[in-house]
Amino acid sequence: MSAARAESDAVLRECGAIEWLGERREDGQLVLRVGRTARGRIAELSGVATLVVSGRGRERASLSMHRPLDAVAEERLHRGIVEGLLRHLEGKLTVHGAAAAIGDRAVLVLGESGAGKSTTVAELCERRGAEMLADDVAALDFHDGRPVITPTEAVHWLLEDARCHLGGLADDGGKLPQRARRAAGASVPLVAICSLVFDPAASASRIVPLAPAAAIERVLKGVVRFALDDRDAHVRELDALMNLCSHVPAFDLVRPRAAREIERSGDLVERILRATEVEGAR
Amino acid sequence: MSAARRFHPAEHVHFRAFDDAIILLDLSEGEYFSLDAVGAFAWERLTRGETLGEIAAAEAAEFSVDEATALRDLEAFTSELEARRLVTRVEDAP
Repeated sequence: MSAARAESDAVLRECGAIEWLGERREDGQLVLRVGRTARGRIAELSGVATLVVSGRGRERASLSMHRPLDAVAEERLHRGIVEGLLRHLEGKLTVHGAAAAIGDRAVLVLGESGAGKSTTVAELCERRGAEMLADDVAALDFHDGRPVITPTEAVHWLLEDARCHLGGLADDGGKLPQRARRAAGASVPLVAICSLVFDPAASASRIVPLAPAAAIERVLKGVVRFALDDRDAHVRELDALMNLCSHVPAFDLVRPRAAREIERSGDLVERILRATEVEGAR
Repeated sequence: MSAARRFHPAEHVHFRAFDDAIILLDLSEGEYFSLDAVGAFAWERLTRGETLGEIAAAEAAEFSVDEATALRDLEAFTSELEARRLVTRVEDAP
C-alpha cells in the first residue's frame, strides 16, 4: 500500500460512518461521490483523492491523495473539481465545462464527457487568439448581477486527435496536458453558452439556438454540487441558473464526429463569441 | 372519475415560472424538472386547485386540442408527476 493510500484510508477511518448522498459517473464509471459524516462533508474522487470538510468554509478542508500525482495533474485537481466542490459550500455556481474569452467576452462550452469541450477551447486559444478560462471546471460568478467566468484552469487536457490537430504530441491514447498559450488573469463577462452535441447523421456542424428553459437543462447536467442535502443551496442555485439563462444566449452546436470538424466548430464558436451582445440576443 | 381529480404540489417541491416554462425543483432529491408551455399551463391551474376536467376545458379553449384528448393527456401528465412524487392527490371530503 502506498503512503498516499494509507493516509487516505486513515482519513476515512477518522470520518466514521459516511452517508453517501450522490455520485457522478462518466461512461458508466464512478468518478465522484459526495456524502456527509458526523463531522461534516466528504467527497471521494475515485482512485484519486478524498476531500473532507468540517464546517462550511474551505479553511476547514483537507485533501488526502489516494496516489501520487505529478505537478500538472495535481494543479488540475486543486484548481478544477476540488475548487468547484468548495465553491458549492460557499453558495457559488460551478459547472463541468470549458471556457475561453476573446477580449472581454467569454463563452462557456458544455457537453457530455468526450463531447469535445477541451478541444473546442484549445482550438479557440491556440489558433484564434482566445484566453483560457477553464478546461473542465468553470466557475460562474455574478458581478452586479451580470454573469462572469472566473478563471480556474490554465492547462488544456487533450486527446490524441486534438493534439494532432493542434500540432502537439501524437504518441499516446490518453489525455495529455498542454499549457495554454494565453490564460485569462481575471473574470470575464459571459456572453454565450454553447452545448456540444454529436450527431452521427449530421453532414456538417450547425448552430441551434436554445430557449432559456432548455439552456437551464443543459447547464444543470454539469453543475458541481457538494451539499446535496442543503435545500437553501438548491434554491440559491435555481436563482443563479435563472439569472444566468435570462442574461446569456445559449446554443447547441450539433456536429458529426470527425476530426475535420474541430476547425469548423472553432469557427462557429468564435463567430458566436464575436457576434453576441452582452445584453443578450433575445 | 378522473375529471374530478385535484392535485397540489408536494411539500418538498419548489417551482418558478421561467420564460414560457416552469422549472420544478425537488428539494428532497436536488432534482430539477422542466415543464414546457402546455405543462406549465396545466401546472399553474393545478396549483390553483382546479380539477383535471376544468383544466382540460381550459386547454381546449387555449390550444388546438379537443377536451377528451386534453383530459387523457392530463391523466398521463399527473400520473408521471405523482410517480415522481412532485404532486399529491387531493382526496375529496366524504
